[in-house]
Amino acid sequence: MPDPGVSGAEPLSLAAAWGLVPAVLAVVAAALVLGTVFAIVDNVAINGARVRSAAEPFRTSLRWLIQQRRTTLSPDRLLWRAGIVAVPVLAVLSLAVVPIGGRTLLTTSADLVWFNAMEALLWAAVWLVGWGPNAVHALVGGYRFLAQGLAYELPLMFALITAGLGADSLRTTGIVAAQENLWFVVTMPVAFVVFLASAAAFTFWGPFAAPAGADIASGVISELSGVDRLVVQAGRAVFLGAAAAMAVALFLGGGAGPWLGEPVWYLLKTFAVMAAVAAVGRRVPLLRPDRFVEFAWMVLVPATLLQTLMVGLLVIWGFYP
Amino acid sequence: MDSRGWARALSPAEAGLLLTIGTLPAPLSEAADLLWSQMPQPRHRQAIDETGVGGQLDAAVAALSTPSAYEHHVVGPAAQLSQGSEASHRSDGGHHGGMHDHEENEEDADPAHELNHDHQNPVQHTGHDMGGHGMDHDGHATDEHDGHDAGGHEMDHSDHEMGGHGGHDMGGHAHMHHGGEVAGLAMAGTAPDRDGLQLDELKVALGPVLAGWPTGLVLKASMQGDVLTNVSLSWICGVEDDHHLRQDSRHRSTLLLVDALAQFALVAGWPHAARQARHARAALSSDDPDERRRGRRRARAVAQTIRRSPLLAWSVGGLGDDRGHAEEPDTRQACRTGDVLERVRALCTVVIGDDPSMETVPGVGPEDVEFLLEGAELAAARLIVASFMFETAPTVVHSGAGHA
Amino acid sequence: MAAVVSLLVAVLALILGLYGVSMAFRIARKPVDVLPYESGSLPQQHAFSRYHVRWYAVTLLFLAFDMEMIFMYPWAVVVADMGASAVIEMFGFLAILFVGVIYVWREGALRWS
Repeated sequence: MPDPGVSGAEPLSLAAAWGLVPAVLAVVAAALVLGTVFAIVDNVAINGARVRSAAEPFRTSLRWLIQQRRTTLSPDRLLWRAGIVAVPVLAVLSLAVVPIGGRTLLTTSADLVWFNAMEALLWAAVWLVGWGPNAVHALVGGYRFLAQGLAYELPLMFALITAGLGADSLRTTGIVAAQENLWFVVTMPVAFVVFLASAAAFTFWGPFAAPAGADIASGVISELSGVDRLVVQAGRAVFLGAAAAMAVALFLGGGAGPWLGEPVWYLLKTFAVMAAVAAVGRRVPLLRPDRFVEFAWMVLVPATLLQTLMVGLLVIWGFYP
Repeated sequence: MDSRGWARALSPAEAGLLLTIGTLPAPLSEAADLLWSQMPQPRHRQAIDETGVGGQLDAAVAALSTPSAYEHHVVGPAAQLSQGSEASHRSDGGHHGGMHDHEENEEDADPAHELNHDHQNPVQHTGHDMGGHGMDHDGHATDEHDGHDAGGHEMDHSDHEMGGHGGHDMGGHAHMHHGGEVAGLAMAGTAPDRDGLQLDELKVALGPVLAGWPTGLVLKASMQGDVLTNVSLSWICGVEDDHHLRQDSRHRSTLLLVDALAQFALVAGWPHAARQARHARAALSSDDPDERRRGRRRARAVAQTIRRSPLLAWSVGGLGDDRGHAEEPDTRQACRTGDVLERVRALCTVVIGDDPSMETVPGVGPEDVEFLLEGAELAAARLIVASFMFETAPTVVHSGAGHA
Repeated sequence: MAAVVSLLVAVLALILGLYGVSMAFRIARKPVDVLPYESGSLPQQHAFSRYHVRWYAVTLLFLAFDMEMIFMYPWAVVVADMGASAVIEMFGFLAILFVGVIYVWREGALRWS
C-alpha cells in the first residue's frame, strides 16, 4: 500500500527485518511483559511498594490457573466464550502497530486506524462477556460498557488523529520519526491526557471501572472464575500496557533519548506512563458513565477538536518539519 | 482481613473462602448455602467463633490446600430452583430441609456476618465483605441470639413465598405459564415502563448478601434496562452487632460511622478510600489506646478526603434527594436529609467532629428509603442505600416483609 | 497481512495453551454448574432479556460523528499538502455537526437518568 503522506519507500516491518517467526514471538513476549508490568505497577499503586505487591500478579494468576471454572444456568456459551477470548486477542493484535526495536510488526499507511479498530472491537467483546453468563449483574455491566464507549470513543479518535495530523502520517514509525525535534506532548497535551484516560476507559479500569463496578458485584467479570477470569484480566492488563506503549510512540518521542539505547528509553518511558496512570487512576473515585457521557460530549469532544484545530494550524504554518 | 492482605470478593466466582461469623437466623444461612454452592473449587467454608479468630483463619487457609477443598458440589442449580419453589408451595413450616443435608460443614455455619476470601496464600485473599460491621477486626465478632429460631422459620418461609412465587406469577402473567420455563426458570415478562412503553422487565433482587450492602436487607424490584420499579425494601432478618461494642455506645457509633463510610466508598467505586476507612476502623477497634488514637486520626483524614472530593460530588450529587417528595410518608419529614452527597458529607462531618451541631446521623429503616428507590437506576439505588445509616435490623422480622 | 495472521494464530495458541495448562494442573477439571449470583437470593427469571437502553439517542448522535471520523483519518495526511482550505472545510463541517451536539444536549439527551 503506498503511503500518500510520507515520501520514499515503505519502511521495513518488524517481520521483514527479523523474519516472521521471531517478530511474532517478540510481539507476544512484549504483550506478556507489558501486561505483567502493568499488573505489578497497578498492584503497587493499590497496596503500596512492597515485595508482596510485585509478587501478587503471579500469585493471583497461578490461583486462577488451578481454580475450577464455572458454568451458570443456561448461559450463551458460544458468545460468552467468544467474548472472553476476544479480550486478550484484541489486546495482543493492537500491539502489531506498536513499535518494538524501532519497527512495528505490521506497517501500513493506516496504523492508527488498526489500533483504533482493535480497541473498538472491544465493545463487542466486553458486551459478550457481560451477556454470556445469563446473570443480572454481568448484563448490566455489559451495557454500562457500551454507554461508556459512547463517551470515550470520539475523544480517543480525535486524540489519535491529532498525532497523525502533526506527523502528516498515520504510520506509527512515521509519527515517532516526526518527533525528532519536539515531542508531540508539548503541542498536544490535551490529546495525550485524553488518550490515556480513554485507555483506562476501554479497559474499564480505575475511575472508569463502572462496567465491573463494586455496586454490581464486579459486573461483566462477576461470573468468571479460573482460567476464564485469568484470560480476561490478562487481556485488560495487556491492553493497558499496549496503550501506554502507544502513548509513548505517539506523544513522547518513542525511544528517543540520550546515552541509553532506544529500547531502554522506550521501556523506561512506557513504565513511567504506566506508573503515572496507576498513581492517578487508583486514587480517584469512579466517574459514573451516565455523568461522564455528558462531560465527554460537552467538554472532551470540543477540547480535543480545538486541539486538532490548533495542530492543523501549526501544520499549515509549517511548525512541524 | 486487610492486615493479612486478604481482599474481599465481590462475587462468589472470585472467592475461595466463605467465612461465617456467629449465629445466624435461617434466611441468612440459606443465602450462605447458596453462595457456597456458587463458589469454584478449591473452596472452604469456616464458621468463626470467639475462640482464637486468628487460628481459625489460618486453619481456613490451610484447608484450601487439602482434598476437602475439592469436595464436589452436591446441589445443582436445577435442584436449588425446584427446592426454592417447593418451599414456596409448602404450607407447613417445612423449613429448608433439603438443601442442607448435603454439606458437611454447614451445621455450625450461621453467619451473622460472613465473608469469604480467597485461598492459597494468606497474602491476597478475596473476601466477601458481607456483614457491614464486625469482620475487620479479629476478636469480637460473635453473637449468639437464641431467640431467632421461631422468627427465623416464619421468616424463611415468607421469604420463599416471595422468591419462588413471585417469579412464577410474574413470569406466568405476561405470557408464559409453566410451559414458558427454560431450565426451571421463567423468562422475563413485559410491562409498561415509566413512559408507558411496553418493555421487558426482569425480576431482580439485591441482597441479602452483597458487598457494600447491609447484610440481611433485601431489595426486590422489576428492572427495565437498569431502572428499578415496583421496589420493595425490607429486612429478611436482622444482624445483631457485637455485644463487645455495645458497652460503649459512643465508641460503637464511631465504628458504625466509619463502617458506613467504607461501605459507601466501595459502592461509589472508590476502593482507595474504602481501604483507608477499613484501616481506620481496624485501628479504632484495637484495645491499645495509642492505636485507637491513630485510628481516630485516620478516620478523620479519610472523612476529609471524601467530604472534599469534587469528583465524588460531581459523580453522586443530586441522587436520591428525599426533599420534595410531599406525597410520600411524612412521618419523617422533620429529618429530611437531602441527596446522597449531602448525607455522606454529613456522615463525614460527624466523623471529623468539626461541627458541634452535628453529633450523630439519624438511623433509618427500609420504609424511609424505599420510596427514593422507585424509578432509580441500579447504580443510583446502590448509592442511595449506601448513603443511609440503617438502624440495626430487628432480629425477628414481621411477616409483612415484602410489600410491593 | 501474513504477519497479522501469524500473530493471531500465536495468541490463540497461547490462550489454548493456558487452557491446556489449567486443565492439566487443576484438580477440579469439570466446570461447576451454578446459579448466577444474585446477591444471595435465588434468581427468579433468566437475565436474558431485551434491555432498555435509555441512552439510545446518544447512540444516534455517536453514529453521525463516527461516520465523520472515517473522513478525518485520510484528511489528517493531506492537510500539509492542501493547506488552509482543508482545515477550513473540515472544521466548518465539524462546526455544523457540533451545532447538532449542542441541540441534543439542550434537549437533555446526554443525561438520561
